[in-house]
Amino acid sequence: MKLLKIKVPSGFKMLAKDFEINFMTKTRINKDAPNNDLIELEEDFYYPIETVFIGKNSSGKTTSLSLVCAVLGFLDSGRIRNDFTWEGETFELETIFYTNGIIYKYKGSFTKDGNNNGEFLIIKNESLEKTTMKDSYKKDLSNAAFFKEHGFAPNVGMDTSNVVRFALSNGEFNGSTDAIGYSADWFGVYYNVLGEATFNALLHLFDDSIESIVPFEENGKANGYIFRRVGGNSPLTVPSRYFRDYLSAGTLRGINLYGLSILAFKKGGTIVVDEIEKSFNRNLIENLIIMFNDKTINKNNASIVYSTHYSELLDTNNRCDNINVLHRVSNEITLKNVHADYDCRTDMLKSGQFNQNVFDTLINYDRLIELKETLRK
Amino acid sequence: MKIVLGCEGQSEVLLVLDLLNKETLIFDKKDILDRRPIHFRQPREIAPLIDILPIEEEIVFYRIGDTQNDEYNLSCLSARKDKISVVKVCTKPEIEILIIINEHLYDEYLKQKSKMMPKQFVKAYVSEYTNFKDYIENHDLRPAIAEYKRIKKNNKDEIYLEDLIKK
Repeated sequence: MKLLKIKVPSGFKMLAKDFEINFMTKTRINKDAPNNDLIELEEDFYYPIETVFIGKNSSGKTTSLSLVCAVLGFLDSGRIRNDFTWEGETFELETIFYTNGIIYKYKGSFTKDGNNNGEFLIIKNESLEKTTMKDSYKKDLSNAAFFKEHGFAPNVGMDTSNVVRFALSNGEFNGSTDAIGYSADWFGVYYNVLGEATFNALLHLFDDSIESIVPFEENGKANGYIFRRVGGNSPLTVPSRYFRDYLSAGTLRGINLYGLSILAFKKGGTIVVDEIEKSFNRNLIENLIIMFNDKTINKNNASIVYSTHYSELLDTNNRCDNINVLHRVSNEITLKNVHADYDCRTDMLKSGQFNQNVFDTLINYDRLIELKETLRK
Repeated sequence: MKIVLGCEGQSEVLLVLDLLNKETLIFDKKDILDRRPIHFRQPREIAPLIDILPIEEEIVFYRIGDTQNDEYNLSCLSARKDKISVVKVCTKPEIEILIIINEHLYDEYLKQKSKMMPKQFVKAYVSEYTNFKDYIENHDLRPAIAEYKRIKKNNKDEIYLEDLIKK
């Protein structure tokens, strides 16, 4: 399953009215090129492996990525957690997604009801339509004809949608590093799903002083890990929550970022990462992106959605239609696309243009001078 | 538009800052990058400050110094190349020539110029001179700046400090 579009017609936090994220390709595809940075969903229907969000601090990157996570989670579970939005708020959501040869368009409204003590948002006004890709459809599907999905039973004020029946993920993995970034909670999943050899290789990549970490069970329940250092004495039994005492923050986050990515390589799916550079040097991230674009590793069409301040990451592929720029003016977050909305120069690296503020993503000059003037007084 | 007052030496910075603070320059302070003259040899040294300007902003470098032979390397600002211009403001042979003119010692300097540079001459002939900063704090160099333009002949593509001063 791949998200093609997310639109919020109204009501979510500071997103502008009709805020839209379009994940689809927007440029002509040269079919004779290797196109390692694209997934061919169907013949002539391509999807970018990477989708990037850039912008100043507080421009709306985290809000946008949390929206992507919520929609992925919604299509997987039929629910959105109650703490996703603000008290008393109702927002409209439209999303177009592709799965098993069918393009679906879902609409619904989600309310955080102050009287609702439940864990999830109340869903109303749902609809589900579908179509299949046709040559005559524009790249953004703006002229696509959708038809009612008669098998869909709209929700009537409950908290779980029937849409999960249609957004079949076939066991693929959609996840975000943010929930688990600095913990070892998922190490057992990596060990069991990736296998001991891959998991150990992953550990050694980030800390070659680790010999092994093996999940430890007691009375049939996971109860931490057996942890061995290279050349160390006896192994330690370490509860998951104490791993920060044994591994650096960068190692924990790195194992999780690469671990989730490898889960997606194995099972397909989409990884969402806010501030991908957090705790890492640039090279480590560049190599992860190269792995996503390597079809001998990424065999199941995994894709990655991330935000970054590392301009050089923009140069890791040749596309610019998958780079989205967020701006917040006053209290309104808007999104522009580097291909569609900027005169992106082909004679310059994207990082060079980013660093020279072509996309208006650097700090505000006047605000910096204002600060400096107060310091000079 | 942003004006970059790029000074090649610390003495040029002190003089231009003094002129700026006395509101004698033709520029509005808010239009000057970082609201001050900046000491740098090449734009790369201040590129992070220029980079955060809106991409459509016109930028004029006033390159203030005595040596104007090598050109600015503007490759670090290539996305803005159509918006940038450079104006050379020559203070040759050295900025201290203004003190010599101010002390009415220019004729004497001409006799000595083959033996000493202006800075050495000032130290030797101007008894009250201790350093450039103290000197300009106690003297108004604007008449000397005007006189410099009258008596000196810069290259065709170079302007004078006098051209930056309000009339």
